[in-house]
Amino acid sequence: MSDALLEIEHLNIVYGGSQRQVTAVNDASLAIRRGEVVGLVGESGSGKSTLANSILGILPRTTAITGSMRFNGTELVGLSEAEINKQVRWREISIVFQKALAALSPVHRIDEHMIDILRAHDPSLSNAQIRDRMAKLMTLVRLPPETVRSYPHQLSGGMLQRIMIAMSLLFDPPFVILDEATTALDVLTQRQILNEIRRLQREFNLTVLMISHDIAAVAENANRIVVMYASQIVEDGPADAVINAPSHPYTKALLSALPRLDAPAGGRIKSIPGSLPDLSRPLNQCVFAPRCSAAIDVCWKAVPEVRASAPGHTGKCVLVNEAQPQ
Amino acid sequence: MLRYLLRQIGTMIPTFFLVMLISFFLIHLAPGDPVSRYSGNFVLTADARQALLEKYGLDQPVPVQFVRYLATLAQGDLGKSMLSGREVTDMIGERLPATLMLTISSSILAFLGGNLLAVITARRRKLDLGASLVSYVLYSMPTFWLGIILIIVFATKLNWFPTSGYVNSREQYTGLRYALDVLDHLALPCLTLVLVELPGYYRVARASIGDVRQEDFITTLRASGLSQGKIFRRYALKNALLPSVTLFGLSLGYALSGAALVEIVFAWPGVGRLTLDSVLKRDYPVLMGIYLVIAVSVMVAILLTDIVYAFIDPRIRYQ
Amino acid sequence: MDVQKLDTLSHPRSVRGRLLRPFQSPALKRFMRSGYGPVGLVMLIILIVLATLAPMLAPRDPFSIDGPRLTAPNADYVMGTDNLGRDIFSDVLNGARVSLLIGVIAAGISAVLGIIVGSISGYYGGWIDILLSRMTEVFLITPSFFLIIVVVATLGSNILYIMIVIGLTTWATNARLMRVSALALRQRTFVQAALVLGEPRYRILIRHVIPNGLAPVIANSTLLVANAILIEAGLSFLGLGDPNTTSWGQMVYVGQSYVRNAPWISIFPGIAIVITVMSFYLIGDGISAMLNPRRQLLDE
Repeated sequence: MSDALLEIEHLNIVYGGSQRQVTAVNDASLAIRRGEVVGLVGESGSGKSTLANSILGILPRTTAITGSMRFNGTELVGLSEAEINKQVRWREISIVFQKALAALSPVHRIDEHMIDILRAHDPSLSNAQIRDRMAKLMTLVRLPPETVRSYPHQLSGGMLQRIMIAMSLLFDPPFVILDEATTALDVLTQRQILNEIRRLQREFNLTVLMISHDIAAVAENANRIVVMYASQIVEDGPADAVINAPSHPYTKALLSALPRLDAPAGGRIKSIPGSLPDLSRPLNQCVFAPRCSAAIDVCWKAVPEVRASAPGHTGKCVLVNEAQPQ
Repeated sequence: MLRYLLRQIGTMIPTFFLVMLISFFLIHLAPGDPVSRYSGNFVLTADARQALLEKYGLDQPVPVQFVRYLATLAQGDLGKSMLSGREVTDMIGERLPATLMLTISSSILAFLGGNLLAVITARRRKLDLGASLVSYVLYSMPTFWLGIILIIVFATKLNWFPTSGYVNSREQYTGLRYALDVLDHLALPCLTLVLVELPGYYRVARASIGDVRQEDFITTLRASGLSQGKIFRRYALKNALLPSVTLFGLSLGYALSGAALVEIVFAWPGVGRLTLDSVLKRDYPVLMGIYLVIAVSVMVAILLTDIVYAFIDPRIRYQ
Repeated sequence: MDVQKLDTLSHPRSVRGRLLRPFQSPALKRFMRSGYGPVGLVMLIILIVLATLAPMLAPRDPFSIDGPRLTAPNADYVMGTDNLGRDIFSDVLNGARVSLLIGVIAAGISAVLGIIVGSISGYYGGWIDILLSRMTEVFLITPSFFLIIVVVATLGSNILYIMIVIGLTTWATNARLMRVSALALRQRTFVQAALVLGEPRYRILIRHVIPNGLAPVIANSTLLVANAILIEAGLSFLGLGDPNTTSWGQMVYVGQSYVRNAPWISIFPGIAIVITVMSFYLIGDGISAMLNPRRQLLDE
């Protein structure tokens, strides 16, 4: 795993507050290789967005982060705001958010945002260079160059998401995070944008972390799928393996909750019974035990260890049959 | 943009007539007519009384009086005072500059001060707490009482400013000396209004800055590597300004009536003083005239606010 | 966050449930944690106690004029005496009742009117809405203080008139808030369901729309109590107060003539006004924090 572009080890993120502390990410370890498209899946509140935001250092100041996050060899945990701005944000890692309309200032033109971002990282850029850069990016996402003169509310959701993608590529960063980037769009636009992303990913050999609550959408586009449940990474493996032979009961439940074309007519879509554990208390059991149909005694006694069911495919469950070392 | 404005004006016209109608009836249906007020303790003969009523059209039914009033109004004529016989337009006109000078200067200062304070305290918790406390106290003060306190402190005790009036009547200043003298008299009433209005701007701006900082686009800009200072100055502030601008515009609408109590405390020769005198003497034409000017100024202020708003907020401009 | 979201999505409870709920609800916690809310409440409770016990607490009969005139505050006369030799401390204590009464009743009238006009306007819609909205607009743009002095000056300075007139000229903001609530509630499933089940419209209005849309009006009414107290003070200061009662505004008015040699006559009743008005503003902001969880998050 030494060729990892981003290597996260034992990451813990605790949201502060004097009255209540909530653990949003609990002992997460994850490595992403150059050129890989990794899907991070989980329901809302599972901690996936927190994990993504922590990479760019955009969590509230009261948040406590421990553990390690190395990007290209640089440790990100503990970097100051100024250092993150200089070393990480946008030149190395960029992000595309879900709601593009809210993600842009309503009283500024698109190009005002872009110019400010460009200038923030490279004050020496000339106006002509900036114009060229913006025009090139607009062509890249297949929008007319003059689109940048618009205000956000004048554009459609699909156009705005293209703009956001173009913005994320302002400095050709090797690593792009897509945080539910297509969730708010209608199905057709969603498909177009995903195709666009795939094309750009191949063209620039981008490394992509694609966050979604929709495991089906991720399955089509990612090489690898990482599943989060209640602050923990419960499964991590090649996309095909995770879909066809999930190792964690939560992933199984998640997949069986998907509507299938080949399902018998009249069958009901299964939902997962039970509720989330209280994340403001320390855990000494499996997080999924309260909802797990296969839970046994040991599940209630300790947090299970991460076990590999096959090379490169792990699950955080005592029931995972460890692959024999060969 | 133009269509938007025309539509706004269109909706205001019926409102304007309703305003006139309600106020006209309210004032005229009240017991006590100006003729008996005017005569005071003198007992008028029935004939003399009748003559006076006829002279001012008061013998007609109220609806007829209203139609007549509208007719004269359409000619730009606000009628004549029942007491002095002077043109109402002149009476209000000569009072307007003093009132406008007082209210506009104080509104601008309060707007600037309140917003500045909000920006300064936005990121300093302790200062913020102190400013909030002070703003609550100032916000709760009756303007006239604050005026009296300022007179006690700055005029009678410290002798820095004159207690009341518009100019020093004992001197015959001209030119620059005259202007300075007026400013000297303006200081305390203006300060009173600023102190009372500033907390409103402060609170609105502070809440608005707080709201804007929670917006998603702030996170986007932060993620993209813009410095916090630049985000605040370039993006947060412009977005946060919108509610303050509205408040400022609306407060200008009340510029004519809002300072009445302060004008009375400081014997400032403005519209407020005129209003009170006309109320006490039931001088209908003057009251109606003042009311008309107030209603129009409120509507103009709303319209101007809309225009300024459209300049700042493209979402409205491109509707 | 998600818990609060659930809270707003859940089916609103019956009126009784609503009244019972605050005692264990996060809303009350938000009020108590807002900082200013509880401070205002404590101030108000003290004021109410003082106002009720005023006749017992006041060292002297507020109307007796046998004290020395224009005495500066001393051990005997804590706040001094006025031009007629009345004890200002006793006067201020007795004035509390008048101010609180005027504030609460005027705001009550304003709330009732606003709720009626606003809920009918928002729930029924159509031409009724257009008509009532226009009317509301007229009152919104009319400077209420102007109308109030005109009416009080013509009808006479009776405390009852003053309360009614303040109520009649300030209901427009309440009506607007209630209309917005009613408009939103009209679309909600439980209101639509009641309609489908054949409940008459007026009953839906009274049983579902008004109780569930009341909250913003309550918050605004607290502020209106404060405004009404200020308006009454202003009226009294103009000499248009009820001559048969002693209010703080009147005391300031009397004191204005003695600003030079006896400033305390104006100062103390003014401080009383500030404290009373402030308690209502503080409570109003506490209620706003209670109704608006997002704003509360900000303050933490």
